[in-house]
Amino acid sequence: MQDEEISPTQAAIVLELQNVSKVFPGVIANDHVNFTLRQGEIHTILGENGAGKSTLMNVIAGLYPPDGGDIFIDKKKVRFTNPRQAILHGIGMVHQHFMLVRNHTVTENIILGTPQPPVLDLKRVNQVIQELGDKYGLTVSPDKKIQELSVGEQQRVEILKVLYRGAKILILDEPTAVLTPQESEALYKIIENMVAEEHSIIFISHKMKEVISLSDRITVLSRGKVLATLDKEKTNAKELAKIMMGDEAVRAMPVSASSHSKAMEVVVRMEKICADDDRGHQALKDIDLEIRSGQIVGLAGVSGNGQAQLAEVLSGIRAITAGNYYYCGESLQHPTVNDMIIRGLGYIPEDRKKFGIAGHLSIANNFLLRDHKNPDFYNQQFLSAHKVNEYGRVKMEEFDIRAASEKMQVGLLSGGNIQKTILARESSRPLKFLLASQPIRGLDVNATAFIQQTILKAKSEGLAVLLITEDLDELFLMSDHIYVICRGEIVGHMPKKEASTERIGLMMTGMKT
Amino acid sequence: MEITGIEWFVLIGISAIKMGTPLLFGTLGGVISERSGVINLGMEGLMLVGALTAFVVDLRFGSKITAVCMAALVAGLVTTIHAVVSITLRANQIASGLALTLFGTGLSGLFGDRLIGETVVSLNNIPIPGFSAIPILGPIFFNQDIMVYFSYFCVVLIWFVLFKTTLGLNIRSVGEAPEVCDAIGLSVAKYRYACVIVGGMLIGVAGAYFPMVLTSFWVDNLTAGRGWIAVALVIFAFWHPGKALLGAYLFGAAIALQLGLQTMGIAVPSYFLEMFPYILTIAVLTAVTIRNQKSGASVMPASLGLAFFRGEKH
Repeated sequence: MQDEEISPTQAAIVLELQNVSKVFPGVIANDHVNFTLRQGEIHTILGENGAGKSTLMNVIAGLYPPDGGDIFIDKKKVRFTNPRQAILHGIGMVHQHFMLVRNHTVTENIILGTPQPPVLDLKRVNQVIQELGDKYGLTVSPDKKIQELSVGEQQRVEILKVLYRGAKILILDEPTAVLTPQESEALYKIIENMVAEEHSIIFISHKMKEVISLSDRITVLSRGKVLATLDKEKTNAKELAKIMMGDEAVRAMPVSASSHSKAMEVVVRMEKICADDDRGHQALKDIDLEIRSGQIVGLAGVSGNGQAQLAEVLSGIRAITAGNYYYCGESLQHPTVNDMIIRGLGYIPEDRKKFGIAGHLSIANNFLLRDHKNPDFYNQQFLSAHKVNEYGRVKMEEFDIRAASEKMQVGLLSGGNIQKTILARESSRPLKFLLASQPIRGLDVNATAFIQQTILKAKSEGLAVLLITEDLDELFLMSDHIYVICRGEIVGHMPKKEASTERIGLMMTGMKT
Repeated sequence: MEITGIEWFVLIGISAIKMGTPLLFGTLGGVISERSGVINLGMEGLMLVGALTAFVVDLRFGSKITAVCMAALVAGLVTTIHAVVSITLRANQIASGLALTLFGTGLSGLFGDRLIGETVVSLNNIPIPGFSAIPILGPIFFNQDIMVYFSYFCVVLIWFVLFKTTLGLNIRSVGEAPEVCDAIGLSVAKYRYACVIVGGMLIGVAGAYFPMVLTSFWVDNLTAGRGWIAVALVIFAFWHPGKALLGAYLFGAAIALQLGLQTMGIAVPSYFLEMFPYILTIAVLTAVTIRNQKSGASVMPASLGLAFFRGEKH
């Protein structure tokens, strides 16, 4: 629409897309996309989930052949039919879902698929990797297995992987979505190092703050189309949000935490709770936690520090090995999942696709889960498909679940719509306690706002809410009181007004303040 | 005729290696296949096909080497069915493997029927100069037939290829994370086909060992369930060739002991003795699995048994 003029003083164009289209059955994922990347530039692609960003990147990286249009690298036309050809042309992609072999070492992962002598010379390769790491500030130990690494370290391996292959153009697909604030800062530094070495970066994100601070240019994508390409200097967050979402931007502004009306009675109280993980190792150690009605307690922590086990204990999935769990004053020894449901627990699990829905069932049938005894769904003794679908349609309307019909498989929906489906189901019963684990991870701005508003509304209706999150923006926006967990222990808690990003970030790494 | 305790031990030892060798070949074949991510439950059937092929070729042409090669070749061909069904057509690997066992059992029974009563000459033991003179271990390990020596070689070769070469890294990666290999341009199907077929050929060699060394005649269902032990041994061995050797000889010893006790006339019910290797299988698998869960280090190829679909949207 408003493509900027390219002034002759600017660096050479290393990658150009002309009218690139990609069609999946029933969806136009990319619609005549034009895009340029200059040498040493950080060019951000901004857009909601389902806007076609990942598809476009997969086309550039050779995973999907385009259905139309041309791709030029260094002014030469190319046509990739597989990823290896893209790699040979210097394009490397760091995927949102890491493409790593968890059981293998860092070195094995980096050299996989690269030309190597028939008998491996790991000593030499380790040295090369070490040097590469030092050059860009990507420190990792080559002999460690991926499963021993933190998420941030795994990402560094991913970046090393593409650098080792000699990539000049790096595609980073939502790289900060899974990182702690400190890890994100480290990544920004690494990106700057790479640009200094004349690499060009395509950066995908929908975190407005980092988009503005990091990018040279920003391209906004919506429903597969490029809406605008803007210079950073000539735009701001508000304008970008407006372009991205049109009129919806207004609606997407998160509501401020309203004051709670009902009396603050203690709903959940944990006293010195201990629990083991699946392998029998202690995962939770002497957890003390209190959640009152009309209150949102935020639990911050780097993922894998016991949050999953804590959520399972609270929802009756995991047995406790020591301590006391009080629920509305009642001491629960070994509650079952059903006990907790009867007592008014709503649960938004962290892995929403695996534990939140039955992906192959329809949206309407997913509302039936957990509420299958509800007489409203029955004709005499028999389930009525008509009533179930009718209910599904009503809920879809109410929760703004965007899908062709209530009979569509839930697993095919976008993350935001899946989350709305779960929320619609969980809040259909009278609740006392809402347990939300990473409720907005990977969701776009609109879905995030909707989910957050719903949770805030629940709070104002007097529910006790536990919000488990790694996203500090969300933590501060939503919480009244903040707990920090590290290695299965609560390392501290404080009212929100006493908390700061630095303090929480440090505590997440285990430092008590 | 009285024999001393040491002599008895050596005799059981020799027998343990012989009984363990087909298990070893089979397990190695399974290790190769499963490292690339494809379970092969067709082992029992493939062993029978290999056994029958070797027996027929040996009977007809009298060439031992041709017999073993043909056994490998035919078993490799039959495994290709499993490869096509489970890799290209992406059908359930368990079902396809079981079908292969049923098919192989039936096929060998059908063509073996008229061979009952025929015999071939067993392979000679060839002592390795020097080594075979080592007390106790010498006669057990180094006064054996050529196929035993070949199995030693295979253990070392497969270990080296899997863990020290680029090819091995690729194979293991395909078994762990095919989507990763696909994204960097390795052909998942190519590696899986190669591993399943080479693995099948080794399983065929395992089968050949029965008529050529252990029995020298053909009976219906000659391998008597040893293929299933090999399936379990792959897990027992943590998909590692060296541990496959240990496991195969442990079970070989169990079988040898069973036969030894029988010939000594010790009054243990024969049904119990026949059960023994399988009870051991269950016990060992239980122990291994518990230990595995405790340590948390999963050594099972992460994508074992899963068909690979490219371009599945996350």
